[in-house]
Amino acid sequence: LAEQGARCMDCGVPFCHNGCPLGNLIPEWNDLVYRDDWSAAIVQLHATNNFPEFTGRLCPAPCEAACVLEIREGDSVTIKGIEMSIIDRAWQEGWVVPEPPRCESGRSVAIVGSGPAGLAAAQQLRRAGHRVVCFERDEAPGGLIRFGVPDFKIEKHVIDRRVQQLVDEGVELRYGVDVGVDISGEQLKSEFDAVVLAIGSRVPRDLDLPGRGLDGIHFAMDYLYGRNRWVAEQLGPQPPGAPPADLPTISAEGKHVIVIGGGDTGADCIGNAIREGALSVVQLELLPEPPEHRPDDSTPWPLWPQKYRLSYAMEEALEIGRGEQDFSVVTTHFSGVDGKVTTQHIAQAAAEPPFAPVPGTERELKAELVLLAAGFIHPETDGLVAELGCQLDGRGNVEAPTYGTSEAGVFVAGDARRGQSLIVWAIEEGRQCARMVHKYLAAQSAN
Amino acid sequence: MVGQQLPRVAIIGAGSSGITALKTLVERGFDVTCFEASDRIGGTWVYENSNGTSACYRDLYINTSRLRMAYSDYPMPEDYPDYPNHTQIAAYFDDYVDHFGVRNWIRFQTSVSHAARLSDGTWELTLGDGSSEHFDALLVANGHHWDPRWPEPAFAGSDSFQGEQMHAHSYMRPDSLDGKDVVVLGIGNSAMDISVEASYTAENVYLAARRGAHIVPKYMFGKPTDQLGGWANPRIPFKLRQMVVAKLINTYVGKVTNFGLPEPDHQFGEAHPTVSSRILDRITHGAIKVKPNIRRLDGNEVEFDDGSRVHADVVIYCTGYKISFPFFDEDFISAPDNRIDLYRRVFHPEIKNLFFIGLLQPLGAVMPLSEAQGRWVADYLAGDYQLPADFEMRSFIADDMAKMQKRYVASKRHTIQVDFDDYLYDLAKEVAAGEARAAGSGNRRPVDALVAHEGAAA
Repeated sequence: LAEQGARCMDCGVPFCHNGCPLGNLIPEWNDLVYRDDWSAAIVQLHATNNFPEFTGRLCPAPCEAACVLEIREGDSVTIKGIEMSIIDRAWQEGWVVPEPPRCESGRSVAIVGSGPAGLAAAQQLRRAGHRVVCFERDEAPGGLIRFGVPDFKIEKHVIDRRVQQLVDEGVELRYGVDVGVDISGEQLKSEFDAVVLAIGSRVPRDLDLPGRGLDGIHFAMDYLYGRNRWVAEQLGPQPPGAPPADLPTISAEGKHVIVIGGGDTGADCIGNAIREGALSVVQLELLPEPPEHRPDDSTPWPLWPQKYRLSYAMEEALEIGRGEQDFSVVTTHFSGVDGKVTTQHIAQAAAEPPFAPVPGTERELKAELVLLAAGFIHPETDGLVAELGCQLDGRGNVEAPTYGTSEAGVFVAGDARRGQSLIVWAIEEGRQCARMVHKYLAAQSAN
Repeated sequence: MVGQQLPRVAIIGAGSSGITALKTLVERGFDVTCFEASDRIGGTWVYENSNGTSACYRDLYINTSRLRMAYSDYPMPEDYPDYPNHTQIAAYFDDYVDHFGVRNWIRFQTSVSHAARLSDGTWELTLGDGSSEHFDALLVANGHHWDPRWPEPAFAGSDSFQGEQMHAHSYMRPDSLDGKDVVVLGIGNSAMDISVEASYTAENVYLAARRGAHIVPKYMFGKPTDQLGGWANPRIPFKLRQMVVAKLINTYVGKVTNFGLPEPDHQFGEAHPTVSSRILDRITHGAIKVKPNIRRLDGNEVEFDDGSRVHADVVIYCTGYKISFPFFDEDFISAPDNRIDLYRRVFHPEIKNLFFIGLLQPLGAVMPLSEAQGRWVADYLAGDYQLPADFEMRSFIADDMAKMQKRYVASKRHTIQVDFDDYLYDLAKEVAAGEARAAGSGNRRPVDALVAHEGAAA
């Protein structure tokens, strides 16, 4: 690892900074790792990133794509690996300790949602001395990194350990509270000096096709929530709140599974399905197969390359001969027996939007479980957001150019503001939003 | 703001801090009254000042060069030496007041015996003659080098000691020590000066040093030490500056342990510096004998921590001063253990019309900082500057205190420390930020003019 740190050239213009939404001080901690000064490295890492153990596990590492060494494809410094080693070492050594504020501001902030954006905002605001209460409708903190991302990508005790730091700093978390249902947005506004919406982008893209109503066709997130709850039940850690009763079980065991959508959510579905013992898993992607290498004409270095990446899950599935990945595939309809889906009818998709089916290429796939992992379109806006009266932008996200919404004292951070994106963006949004909230509170109380 | 009255302002003290705040407030058109218990200007710098506050001894010379000490718009006379005597300093302050024509705003021989904040927020000052006056805002510039701090707890045997015990505050002239055996306790600037002076007249001088100190000479490389150039630049990290200066001084002076002084228990810059060009010289001549801390006093002898005993006629405690405000009720505002929480050492975070000028201990001189503070307060009262939110001030105070505790040797001496250049640099940035805030919210004046103007001076 010191060798990897040494490979960093400390470029005059560090393109990795540009790649990283958080502006992580990458060359700095690369050098400190090379010099074996790990305690200084974690200080530098924490300076810009509240949760490096999350990004070290889950970030697709745009920094590595932007690394100057990556001009020779595949040669970048292993930045993400270094990041994870620094933070894992720091936890091991006991260097990660609560940093409560030195004095209380007497102001309070309610944060709705405890995903990475909400947690980052909570930690920043708490450290600035504000009373912070974080409302979470699920039974445990973390949002999608707990209920979406599988344990084999991030062990849930990693989240709990970090949340405990927040709690020790004085952040109050309330589980099983669905703001907008259990408590109104108006109530939050009256009880707190500011409200931060960190509710994610949780409305999934649906397929309005014949047969969509058949049993066995589910949204990917419903499946992933179920699998994560099952793992928590079997292996722990036990959630601090009570999971909702009588949830439907969605199982892939012994089934032919089709995942619609070629992204990370789809991959996580595949990973779970083959662990459950699915007979076969087919992942379908509407877009054409991307090139194997970085296409210099469309996404040259240091941009994020639109190239083919074999997901960890598909690699596993192919390994045991149960996986298949198809590109340029459009679904035309579903059919089934006794109300249960059995067959998915597909066709080759045209290469250009709207990706219409090419006549004569229709075929059928055996389908006993269909998971829709075609992305998320915008945050849930008919409950809390509508009640508060926040304006939306053209894409249906909460409009907030500088984190403040159209409603005074109401802020928004993360996917709910920018649309579905990376965890690293969520942390960045939480941090920046916290800064704007702090400024707002200061301006409010200036004499 | 034509037609709208400015608040009426009182200043307590016409020392080096009070007069510069007065000058700025007068220039800005405020109705100001500066109360001075003495019959003259200069406070602690007036030798044998009739108000009893002076810490000067006859042969006191300043220990920051005159270039550092002068106000920004009124240099000290060219013919002054680099390190003038206190009489020259006091004369400079006197000239300053006349140069800017603000003497008429000073009410001499008028002490403030009590300052009370009334329910409407205005101040009622009870004066020495029992009368009272009302003000919208109060600036406290009563100094912090006049209320002696004695050793706490007192040394065993001090109540039955047969010799004389005095505080540096009441030391005046070396001839008072003629032929005597003198023990001087302390390692600060007064201890250096007094033991050096005593070494020319007294029979024996023992310097009891509780801890070591880095001795800074007044001159290095032919220049006043505080004029050596860029080393004080606030843009250079403190640790780096500390390293460079420590290296320079170490090279120039050598280790203090070579002179028999205790090894300092801290790095340079982690205690208020001790400036003396003569102490090491006098030690090497045997004119001053270095001893550890006093263990106890016994009859006419002093016993030190190493068990040695000496005969002593006089023990002089150079143990510093207390921050005190005799005109405030103690439960209203006080500084227990010299600690008082103020935003950048000026603003009280809760009381928005009370300000402290010159209540800081810079590595450098107080006067230019008091001048900047006076301008800051004037900006604030005029509505040109807006304070940050109360919680931002509180968190600044807490962070500042933590930084000070981390850097300085734990001592009641180190509660109001600032770095001269850093303080001015940071304050300028804060004032700019506050001006933007004020402009953004309509330059409203934070302190209302409530009391009737008595048309006093102008």
